[in-house]
Amino acid sequence: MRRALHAEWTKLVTVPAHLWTLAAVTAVLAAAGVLVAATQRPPDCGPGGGCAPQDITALVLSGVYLAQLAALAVAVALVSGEYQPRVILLTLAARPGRGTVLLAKAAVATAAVLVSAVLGVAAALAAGHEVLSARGFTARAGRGPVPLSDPALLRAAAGTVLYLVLVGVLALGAAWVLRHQAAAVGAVAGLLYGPFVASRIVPMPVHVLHAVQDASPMSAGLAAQSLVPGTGTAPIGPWSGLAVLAAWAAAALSAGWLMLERRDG
Amino acid sequence: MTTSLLRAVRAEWAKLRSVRSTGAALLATVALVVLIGVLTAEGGHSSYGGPTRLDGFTFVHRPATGDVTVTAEVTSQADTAPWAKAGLMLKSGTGSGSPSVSLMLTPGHGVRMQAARGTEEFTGSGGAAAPYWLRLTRSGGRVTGAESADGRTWHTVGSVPDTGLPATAEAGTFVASPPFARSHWAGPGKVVGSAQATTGRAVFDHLTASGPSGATAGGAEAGVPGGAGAWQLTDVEQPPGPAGMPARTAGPGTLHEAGTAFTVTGSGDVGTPGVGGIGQDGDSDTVASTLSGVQIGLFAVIALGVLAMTSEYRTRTIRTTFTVSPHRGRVLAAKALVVAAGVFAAGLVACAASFLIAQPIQRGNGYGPPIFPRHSLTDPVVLRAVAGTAAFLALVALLSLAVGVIVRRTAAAVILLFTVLVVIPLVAQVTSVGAGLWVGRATPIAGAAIRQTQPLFENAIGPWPGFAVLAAYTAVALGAAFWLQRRRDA
Repeated sequence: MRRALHAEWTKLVTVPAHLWTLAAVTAVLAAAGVLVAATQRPPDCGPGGGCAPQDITALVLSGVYLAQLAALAVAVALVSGEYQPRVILLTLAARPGRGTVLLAKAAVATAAVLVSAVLGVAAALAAGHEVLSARGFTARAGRGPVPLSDPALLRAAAGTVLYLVLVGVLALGAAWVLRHQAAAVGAVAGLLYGPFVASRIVPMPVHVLHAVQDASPMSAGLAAQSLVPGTGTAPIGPWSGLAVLAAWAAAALSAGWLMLERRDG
Repeated sequence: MTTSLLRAVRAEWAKLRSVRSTGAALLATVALVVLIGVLTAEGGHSSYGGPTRLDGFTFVHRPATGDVTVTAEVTSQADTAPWAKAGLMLKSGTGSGSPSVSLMLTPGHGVRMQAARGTEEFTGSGGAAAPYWLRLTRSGGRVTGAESADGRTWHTVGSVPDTGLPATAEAGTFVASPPFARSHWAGPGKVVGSAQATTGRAVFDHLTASGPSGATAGGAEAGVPGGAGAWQLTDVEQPPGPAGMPARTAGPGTLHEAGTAFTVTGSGDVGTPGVGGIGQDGDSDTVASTLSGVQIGLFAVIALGVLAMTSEYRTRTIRTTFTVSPHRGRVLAAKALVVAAGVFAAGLVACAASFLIAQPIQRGNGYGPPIFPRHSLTDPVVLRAVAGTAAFLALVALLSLAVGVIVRRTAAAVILLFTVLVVIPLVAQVTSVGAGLWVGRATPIAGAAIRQTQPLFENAIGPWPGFAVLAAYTAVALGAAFWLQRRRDA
């Protein structure tokens, strides 16, 4: 396993495109955090207050909508790179335990996305905090950004990192099934954004809408970003939302493993 | 020259036709557009629960007997709502619901004239904005409304033969501003809406009510009794609606005179369902809503456009293609022609079907006359929306093709286009209203505005300007693609 990990790690870091894409995850998260914070106006609550508080944290972390495309692109490229040209035949000849190859790739992808996501989320929150303070979101009148040490904020930050990692795993699984890079990218992007966009366009009864949001990987997973559980993209708790996404990722990875075991390279 | 282009077009058509994924992508486009259009129609319900006539406003008036001409210049109007109203009125008394004829300026819908207890509406200049002149003339039973940009050249807005006004009516100016739904972004994907009463504000100048002999407001001749300063302020109050209805007014109106200028504030609304913007909420562009599926049908069009080019690079067929047809510009032109025509045809089928299937469903859900007019596929605006949306999809396919040529790698091109056309608009909408408007105006997705048929408050850009934005991006991308393809190795 150690040698498999080493091999996969080498494949990851020796392709510049992979490193650039991983850097894009970090950069997009940070840049979107600053941009979004810079376009927010403090809510005009009047002297008596009484307007609904905005969930500014989730807004500052909304770079995740873009960054996940980079994360899934890296994960897909790690697998589809094996099929074009068919390096996979060599990989499997060198390491006949196919499950090991799959696990090693998953571990490397997870680690890579984890590192870039942690950096990006930390940068977005820190920079977003500064920009928001400068734009008049001050602690006076209870409009301040949530302090960086707040447990709910740490949960939202950790949730965002986990979300990106799980999207990476989901994409990896889909790439093992589909093998073709563009098909895998398109399928995963469609799976993530399709239900999300549809639930915003199509008016539906509340219980149907909630069911769709709770079941679709993006809406449910991103619910982890809201400071008040159940008030974000889906009426589901942060950890249950991530569990829904994890189930999708696990299903994709198992399907990928099954295909890899049964197919001819 | 032409024959070789024809041959190239035929070759590209054969390639496109014989690839399974093309048919799948076109089929997916049609299916997604129709499916989302029908689901949107199924889910949307409209039930207007308000009063059948709205007649509440601030009236600055004086009695006028017999023939009279009321003129005023609206020198400024606060944009408190697209359907805020400021203008002239002849009314039988000052009670809510009594017969009246009114001529008004609105911030979002230009000049309008209402008669027959608010059930009849005339549309004046659509783009009119303060400062603007209005004139109501009563001659016998007939009342005529006219508008003018400079107070000298007048155009008739409408003329009503029988108004039901008594011999002595109240004449003057009025200001109203309806409540409107405010949306607050409370977090990603979460909008909190609430109806808020608004207070309209307008400044009138050169206000005169004169008899047939042409005497001005200062004079007491010709059926206009009283001198200057005889204008009186009345709050015409809408009777309270059913319990639970939000308040329609934000308190009593005010009148402030400074020299010849009158500053009037007022709250409320004038009209009946379907007239004066009553009952038309944010989602009232029923035609555009039947075409909302293009936002998802887009996914398949992007894939089709990109693959039309990148699949040749991936399999290196491009070398054969260029060997057979060495003129590279011709190859790209033929590809563009074939892709655009194919997607346009499929888009036209999808949009027409979506409109024809979804509209009866909408009618069943309460989107019917008089508030929502019945549309037919041959109405010019509907035709523009349906054919324009198909053309929008064709432009997206061309943009995808061009990006495919520039990037040459399928996955990278798909991600790039997906980011620009789907994700950035989504993030902008979710995070801030201002950013959403900016993205809707300045990025390629502005082209989706072609499906709008109503000048709504929340529209980022008009149909044709939006389409032009996308066309410009596509032209630049295609230009770059031609140039790069000529310079690069295959």
